[in-house]
Amino acid sequence: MSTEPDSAAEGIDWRSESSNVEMSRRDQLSELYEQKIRVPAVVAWSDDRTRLGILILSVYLFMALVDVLGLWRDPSPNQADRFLRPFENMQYPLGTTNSGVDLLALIIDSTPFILLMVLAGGVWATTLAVAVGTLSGYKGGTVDTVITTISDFFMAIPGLPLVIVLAIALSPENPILLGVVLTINYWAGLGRSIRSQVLSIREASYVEASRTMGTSTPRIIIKDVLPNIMPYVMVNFVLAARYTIFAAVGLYFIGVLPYSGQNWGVTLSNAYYQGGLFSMQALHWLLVPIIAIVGLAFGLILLSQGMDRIFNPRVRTRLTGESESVTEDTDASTTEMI
Amino acid sequence: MVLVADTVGPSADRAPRLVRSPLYRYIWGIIIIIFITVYVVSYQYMGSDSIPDDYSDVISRRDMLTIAGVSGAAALAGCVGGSGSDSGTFVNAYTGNPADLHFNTSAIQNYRWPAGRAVFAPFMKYSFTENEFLRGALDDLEIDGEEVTLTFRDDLAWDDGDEWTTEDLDVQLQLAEKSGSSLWGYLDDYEIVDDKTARLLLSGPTNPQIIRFELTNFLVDTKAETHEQWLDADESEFLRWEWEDPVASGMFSFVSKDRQAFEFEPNPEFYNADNVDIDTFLIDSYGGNTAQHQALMSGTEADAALSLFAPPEIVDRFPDHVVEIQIPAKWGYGIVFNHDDPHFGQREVRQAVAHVIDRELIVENAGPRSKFVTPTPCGIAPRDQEYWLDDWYDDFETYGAGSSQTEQAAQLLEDAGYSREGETWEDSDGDTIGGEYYSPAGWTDWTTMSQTVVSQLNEFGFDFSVSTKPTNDWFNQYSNSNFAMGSLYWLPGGSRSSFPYFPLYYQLWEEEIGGGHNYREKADSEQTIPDRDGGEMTLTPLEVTEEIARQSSDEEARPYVQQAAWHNHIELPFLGLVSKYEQSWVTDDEWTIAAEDSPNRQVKWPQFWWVHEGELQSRT
Repeated sequence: MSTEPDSAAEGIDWRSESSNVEMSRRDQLSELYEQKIRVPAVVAWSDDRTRLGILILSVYLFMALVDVLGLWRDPSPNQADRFLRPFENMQYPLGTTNSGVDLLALIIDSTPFILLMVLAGGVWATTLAVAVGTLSGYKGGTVDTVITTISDFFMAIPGLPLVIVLAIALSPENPILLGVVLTINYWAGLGRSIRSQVLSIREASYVEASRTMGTSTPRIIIKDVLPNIMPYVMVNFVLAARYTIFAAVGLYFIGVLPYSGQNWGVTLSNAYYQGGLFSMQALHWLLVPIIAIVGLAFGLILLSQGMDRIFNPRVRTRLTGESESVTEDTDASTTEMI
Repeated sequence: MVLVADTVGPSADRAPRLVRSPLYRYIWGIIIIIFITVYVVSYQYMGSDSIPDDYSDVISRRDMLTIAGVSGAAALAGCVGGSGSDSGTFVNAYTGNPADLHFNTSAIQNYRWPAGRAVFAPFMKYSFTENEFLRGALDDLEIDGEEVTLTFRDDLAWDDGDEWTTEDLDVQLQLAEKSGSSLWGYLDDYEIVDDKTARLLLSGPTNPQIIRFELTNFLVDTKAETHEQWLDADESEFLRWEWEDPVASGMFSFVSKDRQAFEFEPNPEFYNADNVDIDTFLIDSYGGNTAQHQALMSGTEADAALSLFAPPEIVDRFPDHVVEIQIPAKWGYGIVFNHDDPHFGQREVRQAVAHVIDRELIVENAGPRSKFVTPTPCGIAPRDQEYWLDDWYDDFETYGAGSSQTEQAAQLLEDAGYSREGETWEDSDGDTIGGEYYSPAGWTDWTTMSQTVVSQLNEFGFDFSVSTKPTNDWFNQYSNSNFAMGSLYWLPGGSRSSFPYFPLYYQLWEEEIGGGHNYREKADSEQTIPDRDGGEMTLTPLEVTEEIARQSSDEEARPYVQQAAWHNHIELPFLGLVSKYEQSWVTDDEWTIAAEDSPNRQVKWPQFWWVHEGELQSRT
C-alpha cells in the first residue's frame, strides 16, 4: 500500500469532502486556512482560559521580540540608581537591583533564551515519548519489550541528580542543548503512559479496519492513533516545558549551570542571597523573576487546556462555539485526559 | 473522522462538570496569592522587629538546645519543646552537619575549623587590630638565625588529666611532615630540648614573620598516645582517619554531637580555665546563610555566627545587640591575565585595563559594607601597603581607584598600536580586544563585580561578555590557560597574606592554577621597567620576591618588598581590585565582648579567642 499517494494530504485534509481535482490553488489554500488556522483559532479563542493563556504567552513572545530587535536597553550595572522600586521611576518600571541594573531589561534580555530552552525541552521530551510510546504500544512483541526495558532503565535513574551531573559534564550554554539536557529522561515516563493509551486504541474497531485494509503501520499510527492521543501529548508537551523552566531555574539558582548575562534563575539567586527575602528594599528584585517564571508556567498551563479543545474533533465540528454545551464538554474531557 | 470523534466523546460526556471557567476565577486566585504573600512578609517583619515578645510563648531554638543538651537528649533537638534557662549556654550558628564531622585537623574531609577551635589550644594567634602575634599555648618563641626555640606553657595539659609534653609535639611534627605541612618547607629538622621546649632547625635564612605565620596554623591537637599509631601508617590512611572522641587541650571538652549540634563543656584542665564562663558551648547547624541570617534577626536564637557574609540590606534588619566584627580577609576580587595572549601579554593593555576600571564602583555595587578597594594594585594587601612601601608609597600609580581614567587608557592603547574604530578598539590586524570573561557561578557578589568590570571595559571599547561557570570549570579555564583575562582572587588569603612575600609570590607563580597565567617564565627572567625617578631599573622579579623570605626583619625585607611591589604594579601579573572583611557576628546583650581597641578584637575567630582570653563572659 505504500504506493498509495499521500500527496493529497499535503494540501488538504484527507477527510475533506472536496475533490482535489476540481479545486483551484486558491481554494486549497483557503481550505487549508480554514482547517488548520481559523478553526483551531476560533475554538481556542472561545475559551477564557485559553484566551488568557494566549495573551500571557504573547506577552513573553513580545518581550522576546523586543530583545531580538533591540528595542529595550541591555542590562548593565549602574545604568540607574540602586534599588529603585517598581514604578518609582517610569524609565525603569520594574525597579533596579543592588548594582543599579534595570530589572525589566534583565527579564527581557533572557526571554528569548528561556523560550528557546523551554521549546527545546518540550519538543524533545514529547517527540521522543510519542515515537517510543506509539511504536512500542502499537507494535508490541519484541519491539515493545526492548523499548519498555530501555525506558524502564531511564525511569529508574533519578532525574535531577542525573541532570546535575550532565549539566556539570556538558556545561550547556546553548539554550536548545540545555533544554534537551534538562528533560533528558522526561520522555521515559511519558512514553510509558502513551504506550498504555495506544494499547487500548489499537484494539479499536477502526484501527482494526485500517489494518485489514492493509494500511501501512506508519499511516495507521499517524492517521488513526496519533489524533487520539494528541490532546494528552499536547498537555504533556506543556508540562514538559514547564518542567524545563523550573529545572533550569533551580539549577541556575544553585549555580551548576554556566551562563552569560543573567537569566531569571540567576536573578532570583542574586536577589535571594542579597536579602530579598528579608528586606522590603530588595523584595521587588526577588518578586520580578518569580512573577516572570510563574507567569510563563501559568500561561503554558492555560494554553494546554485549550489545546485539548483544538484537538478534540467533536468540538471542532461544532466549531462555531456559540453553544454553551460545547464549552462544557471540553472542560470535562481535559480533566478526564489529565 | 467520526470514529475519532467517538473515542473522545464518551469520556467527555461522562465526566462531571465541576466548575465553570470564567476569567474572574483566575483574577481572584491571583488576588488571594498576593494577599497571602503580603501577609507572610509583614508577619516576618513584625516577628523580628516590632514585637519581639511574640516569641515568648513559643519555645526558642536556644531553649530547646539548652534543655536537650543538659538532659543529654540533644538528638531530639529541633523537634521537641520545653522551657528552661538560657544562661550559660552559648549558641554559635554554623553550617554543616556535626554528625559527619570529626576532630582530625589534618584530615582532607569532614574536619571543620569551628569544632577544632573549641577543643584545641592554638600555638599562637595573629591580631589584625594590632598587627602583632598573641601567644596561646606557646609561652615563648625565640627566633635566632636558623634556630627557632618553642617553649610551651608549663600548665598545658590534656583534659584526660595527662600533662602535655614535647613527646606529643614530636608526634605532631612527624605527622605534619608526613602530611606535607607548609611549615616543613622551611625546616630541615627539629630537636626536643626538654619536656616543654623544642627547637626547629631551619633549612636556610628565613624571615621570622614567615615562621610565626606558619605557627599560627598549629593547634595543640596531637596527643602521642592517640596519634602514634599513624606514624607508621600510610599518609592517606592518616588523612582519612576520623577522630571522633578528641582529647582536648583548649577551652572546652567535647561532650557530644548529633545532626543538630556539637556540644562542649568547659575543660577544667585548660590553662586559662578561669577565663571560661560558659556552661555549655554549642556549635549549632543551620541550613545555610539565610537560616543563619534569620537566627540573628530573631535576636534570640543564636548568640554568634561564625564567618557569615551578610549584605547591608540584611544587616539593617539585625537587632542592635548583634555586633559585627570585621576582620580583614586578605583575600579579594581581582583579574588574572593570560600573559601569552596577544593582547593581554602586552603591559600597556594590562595597564589600560587598570586605568579603565573604577574600583570604588565595584565596591558600591557588590558590598560597600564589607569590601574596600586597594589603593594601588601592587600585590600587597590593601591595609598593609602603607607600612611596607613606606617612602615609596606616594610614588605608586593608583590607576584611579574611584574613577574610570579612559584618557590614560586610550593613550596607552594608542602607544601599543591600537586604534579606535567607532566604538571599539582594534589592533593593526583589525582584531578587537575581548572574549569571554569568566566568573564563578554561585558566588553572588563576584557575579556583580564581574558584570561591573565588563560593563566598564565594554563601554571603553573592549568586547567582553561575562561567562559564569561552575567553580570547577571556572578554575579549569585558568589551569588550562584557556582564557584572555578573567576574575580570580589576587591575594591568597589567610593571615599570612599580611606578609607581602606570600601574595607577591602567589601572583608570580600561581600554584593554584599551576602557572596557567603563563607568567612563570617572565617572573624568572630579567626585566627592565621604569623606575621611580623616570629612569629604568632591571630586576628578576622572582629573585627579588624570594629575597623577602630570607631577610631576618621587616626593615631588612622592606627594600625587596618595595622593589617587588613596584615591579608588580608596573607589570601587573594580576590586577588587584578589591579586598574584603570576614564578617563575624556576636551578641552583646547577654555576653561581654572585646572592646574596639582590644588587641583581641580582630583575631580569628572572636567567638573562640575571646573565650580563651576571658573577654567573652556571661553578663549575669
